[in-house]
Amino acid sequence: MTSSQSEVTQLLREWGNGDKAALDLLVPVVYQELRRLARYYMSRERPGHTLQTSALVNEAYMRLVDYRDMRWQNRAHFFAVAAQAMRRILVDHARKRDFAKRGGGAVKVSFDETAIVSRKQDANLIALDDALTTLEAFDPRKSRIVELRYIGGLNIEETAEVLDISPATVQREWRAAKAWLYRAIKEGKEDEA
Amino acid sequence: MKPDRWQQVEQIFQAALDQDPKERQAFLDRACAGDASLLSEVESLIKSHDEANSFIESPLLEDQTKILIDLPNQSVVNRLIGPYKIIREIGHGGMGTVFLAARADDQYRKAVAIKLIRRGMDTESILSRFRHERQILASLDHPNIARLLEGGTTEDGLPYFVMEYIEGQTIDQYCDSQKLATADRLKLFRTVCSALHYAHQNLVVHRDIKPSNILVTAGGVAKLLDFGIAKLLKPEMYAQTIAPTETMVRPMTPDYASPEQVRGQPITTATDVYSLGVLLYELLTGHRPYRIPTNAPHEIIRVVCEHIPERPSTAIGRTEKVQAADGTLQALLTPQTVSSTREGQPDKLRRKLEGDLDNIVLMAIRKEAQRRYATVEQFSEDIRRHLEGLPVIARKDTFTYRTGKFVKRHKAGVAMGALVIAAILIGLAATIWQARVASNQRSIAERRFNDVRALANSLVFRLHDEIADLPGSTRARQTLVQMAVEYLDGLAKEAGGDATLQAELASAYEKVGDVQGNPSNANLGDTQGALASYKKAQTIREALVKENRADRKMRAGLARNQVFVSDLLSQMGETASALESQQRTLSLFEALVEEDPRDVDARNGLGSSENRMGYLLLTMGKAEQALEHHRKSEAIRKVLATEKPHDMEFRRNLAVSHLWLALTLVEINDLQEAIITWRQAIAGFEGIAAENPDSARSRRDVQSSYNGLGDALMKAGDPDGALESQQKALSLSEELYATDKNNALLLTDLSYSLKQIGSILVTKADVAGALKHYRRALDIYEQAIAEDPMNKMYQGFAAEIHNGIGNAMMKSNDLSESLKSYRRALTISEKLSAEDPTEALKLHELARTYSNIGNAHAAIASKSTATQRIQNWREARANYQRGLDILLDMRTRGMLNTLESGEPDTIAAEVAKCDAALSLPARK
Repeated sequence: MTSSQSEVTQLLREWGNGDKAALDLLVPVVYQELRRLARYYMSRERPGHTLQTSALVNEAYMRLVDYRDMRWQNRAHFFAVAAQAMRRILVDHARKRDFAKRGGGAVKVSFDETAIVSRKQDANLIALDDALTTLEAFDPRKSRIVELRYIGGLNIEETAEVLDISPATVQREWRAAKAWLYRAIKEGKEDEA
Repeated sequence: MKPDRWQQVEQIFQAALDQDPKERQAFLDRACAGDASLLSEVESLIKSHDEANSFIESPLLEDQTKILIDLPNQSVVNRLIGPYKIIREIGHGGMGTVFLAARADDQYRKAVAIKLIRRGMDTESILSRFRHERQILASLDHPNIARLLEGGTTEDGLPYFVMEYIEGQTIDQYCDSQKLATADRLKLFRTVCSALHYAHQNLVVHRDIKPSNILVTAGGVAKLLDFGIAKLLKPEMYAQTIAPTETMVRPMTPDYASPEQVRGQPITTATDVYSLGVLLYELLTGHRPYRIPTNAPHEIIRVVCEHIPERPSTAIGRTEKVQAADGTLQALLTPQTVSSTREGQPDKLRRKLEGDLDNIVLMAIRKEAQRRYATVEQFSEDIRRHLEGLPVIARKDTFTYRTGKFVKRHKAGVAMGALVIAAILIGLAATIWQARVASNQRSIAERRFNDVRALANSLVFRLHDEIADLPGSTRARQTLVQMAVEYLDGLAKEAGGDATLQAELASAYEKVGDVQGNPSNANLGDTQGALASYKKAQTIREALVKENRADRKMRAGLARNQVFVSDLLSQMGETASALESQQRTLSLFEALVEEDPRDVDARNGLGSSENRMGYLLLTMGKAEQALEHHRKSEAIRKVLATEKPHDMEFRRNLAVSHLWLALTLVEINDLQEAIITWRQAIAGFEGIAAENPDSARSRRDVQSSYNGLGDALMKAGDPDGALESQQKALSLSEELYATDKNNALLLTDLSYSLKQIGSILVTKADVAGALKHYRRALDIYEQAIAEDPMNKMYQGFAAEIHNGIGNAMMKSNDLSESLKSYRRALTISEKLSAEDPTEALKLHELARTYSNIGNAHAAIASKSTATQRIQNWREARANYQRGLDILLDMRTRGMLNTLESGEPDTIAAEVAKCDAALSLPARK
C-alpha cells in the first residue's frame, strides 16, 4: 500500500463522515489519476475505439484506494468523488472557454485542442451545472445520481450499488431529476419557490 | 424549492407517470386537490419528462475520454509544487508548462518561474541527471543568467525546475520594439556572450540558445534562461551516434541547431557559438540564415548541414513570408520592414552590415565546428573590435568548398565527431602548410598560419570541454591528442628557422601537455605524455633562446616552460628533478629582472619561482634553504602588492608567501615568528575574502591559514589557542562544504581540521572527543582514497589519523586497540616512504609510527606476565630501534629541523630503557 493510497482512503472516510474539506483535497488527486489513466489507455487503443468512463473510474479506484479497506462506503464515496471531480473539471473548463469566447481576454486558454466539446455543449454543460447545483440544494441524492450516470458514466445497476439503493429507485429518481433539469435548463429558470 | 414541497411534487409526479397516460390528468386533478400551483408544477414537470427523450441519457464522456486528456492542466493553479504556490501559467512548450509561482511558506514572497515537465518524459532519468548536475547549474551566478534555484518532483511524480523569474520581452522583440540600432544590438548581444563565456568556463554548455530563451528586462538587461535544462531533458540529443542516419534526434528548435547537433554528434561550446551566430544573424537582419520547412529528419540534416547562408547584408534584401506553426501568415519581411526597426533605411542597414559584420556572423555559423570562433569570448571580442573600429579576425570563408567535399567523402563509415574534427584539422593544416611553403608572401602565410593556430587552440579548448562533458569518450580524446601531437611533430619538422612559428609550436605542445596531464586542469591523466609534450616544447624553446639571446620574451617562455615541467615532476613525486627545473626558471627570471628591474611580469615570475623553490626544498626537508627562498619571494611580492594595491592577484601572492614563510618558520622551530607570520597571512586572506564575498577560493585561503596557525600554536605549547584556531578553520570548512557538496577538495580540507582537533584533544586527554573527530576525518579520507587511490597526501593523513587514534587509545589504556591502529598506520607509512625516500614528512611519519608501536609494546610489557613481558620489551626495542635508525639517517642527511633534532636522542633513551628492562629478568 502506498502512502497516497492510505491517504486517499483516509480522505474518503473523512468525507464520508461529513468533512467537506476532504473533498477539496480528494478532487485534484482523483483528477490527476483519471487524466493519467485516460492518457494511458488512449495511447494503447486504436483510434475510434471507445473507452468506458466507468471502467476508467474503476481502475482509478483500484489504484488510489487501499484495497484492503474496500468497504462499500468507500467505493461509493470514491465514485461520487470521481464524478464530482470530473464535473468540476469539465464545467470549469467550459466556463473558461465561454468567458474567453465572450471576449474575457486576458486568460490565455488554448481552444483548438478540445474541439470535441462543441460550443453548444459548453453552454449546455454550464447550464446543467447551474441546474444541478440548484437541485442539489433540495434533493442531493438526485444530483448525485445525475453526476454518477451522466458524468461518471455508470449504468443504473452500478449507480444503485454505489448509492446503496435499489435499481428501481435509481430509475424513478433519475426520471424525476431528468425532467426537472430539462425544464430548468429549457426555461433558464432557477426554481425559487 | 423547499425539500418538503419538492417531495410532494415528486410523489405526485412519480405516481402520475405510473398511471396509464389516459388516466393521468384525472389522477393529477385528484392528487393536487385544488392546489393550482402544485398542479402546474407537476404538469410542467411531466411535460418536460415527455419532451426530454435522450437528454443526458448518453454519458457525457462515453466516447469522449479524450476531453479529459486534452484539458489544459488548469488544476495546478493554486496548487503547491514543493514549497511553491502556482500563481498562473506563463507559457508552454514541447517539454512542459512554465508557471509563475511564489514560495508559500516563506516570509519573503519572491516570485519564481517553475518549469513543470509534462508527462511522458523519462522522469527518473531527468531527475538523476538533475541530481548529477544541480550543483554546477545552481552555481552559475552571473548577472545575465537566470538562476536555477532548485528542482524536484511533484506529488504525482512530475519533475520540475525552479528558476529565477524574469519579467521581460524576448530579445528579438525587445530589439524591435525599442528600434535598437545595429551598434546597440551588438552591445546587448555581447552581454549574452559574456553569460555564455562564464558558463563555458564553468563547463556548462547551454545547447538551446534561441530568442525565446533570452529575455530582456525593462531595464535593458538580457537574461539567459534554461541553462543546462536541454541536456537534462534530452540527453539523447547529445549522445554520440555512429551513423548519423541511424539515430536522428530532433532538436527542440532546428532553426538554431548546429550541424553537429542535428547529426547527433558531441556537443561542445562550439555548438553555443553556432546558435549565437544564428541569433545574431536574426537580430541584425530580421531573417534567419534559413528556415526549415519540415520536421523530416533528413530534411533538417540537409538544410542545417548543407545550406550555405546568404551574407547578412544580402539577406536584408529578401522578401520573406514567415508562417506561424499553423500555416497562417505571421509576418511579411521586406527590406523596408526589417530596416524600419533597425537603421531606418535599407541602404543604411546594408552599409552597416557589409564587410566585418557579414564575416563575423558567417564565421560563427560555419558548418564545421572547428572553423567557428574558438570561444564565445573570441566571438564577442571580435564584435568589440568591430564596434571600436579595429580590424577583426573574421575573414571571408574560403575553405567551405574544400572541407565540404572532405566531409562528404568521409561521411560513410567514419565514426563522426571528434575523429573527423581531428582529420579535418590535420587535412587543413597540411594544405595550409603547403600553401605556406609554396608562397613567399609572408603576410598571407602568416595569416594562414594564424588559422592553423586558431584551429589548434579550438581543438585544445574543445577537448577541455569534452573532458567534462562527455563521459565515456576517453579513447576518442586520447586518439585526438595523439593526432594533435603527430600533427605538431609534422609541423616541427618543416618549421625550419622561423622563430615565430617555433614559438607557436612550443605553445601548442604546452597546451597539449596541459590537456594530457596538467594537475591544475581537467586532464586525461596521462602524466608521462604531458611530460613528453612539455619537454618537446622545452627543446624548441631552448634552441630559440640560444639563437635569440637578446629576446626577453623567448627567455620568459623558456622560464615558464620549466615551471610546467617542474610542477609536473613534483606532482609525480620526482622532487629532485623538479627542483632542477625550477632552478632554471629561477636563474632565467633573475637575469631578466636584473636587466630590467621595471619588468613587472618578470618580477612576478621571479616571486613565484622563489616560492616554488622554497616549497620543493621544504618537501625535501631542507627548511633552512627553503626559508631563504620564501623570504625572497615575500620581499618581491610585498613590493609588487604595494605598487599595485588594487591587483587582487598580487595581494593574494603576498599572502601566499606569508603562508609558506610561516610553514617554513615552524619547520626551523622559530615558532614566535611563525605565529606572527601566520597572522599576517590570515589578515591578507581575510582582506581579500571580505572584498570578494563570493570567492570560495579566498575563504578557503583563510580557512587553511587558520589550520596553519593552529598547528603553530600547538607546537608552541598553546593547546587552547590551537584548538580555537582549528575550530575556526573547521567551521569555515563546514560553511564552504555546505555551499559546494560536490567538491571533494573542500571535504578533505574539512577532515584536516577534524584530524588536527583530534590530536589536540588527545593531549588534553579528551579521548572521546578525539575519537569522534578522528573517525569522521578518517571516513572522509578513506572515501577520498577510494576515489583517488594514487593520492599520497590523503594516504599520509590517514596514517597520521591511525597514529592519533592509537594515541587516544593509549590514553584510555586500551593497549591492544592502540597497537592495532598503529599497525594500520605502519602499513600505509611503509608503503609511502618506500615510494619516495627523499620526502622528509613521510620518513618522519614512519619513524614516529615505529616509535608509537614501541610505546604500545612497552606499555603492554609493564602490565604483562613474565614471558609476555619479555616478548613485548623485545618488540618495543626492535620498533624503537627502527624508528631511531630512520631519524638518525634523516639527521645525517639534514632532513630534521631544529625542533625535531632532539628526537633521535629521545628514542635512543627509550631503546636504553628496553635494554634495561630486558636485562632484569636475565639477571633474575
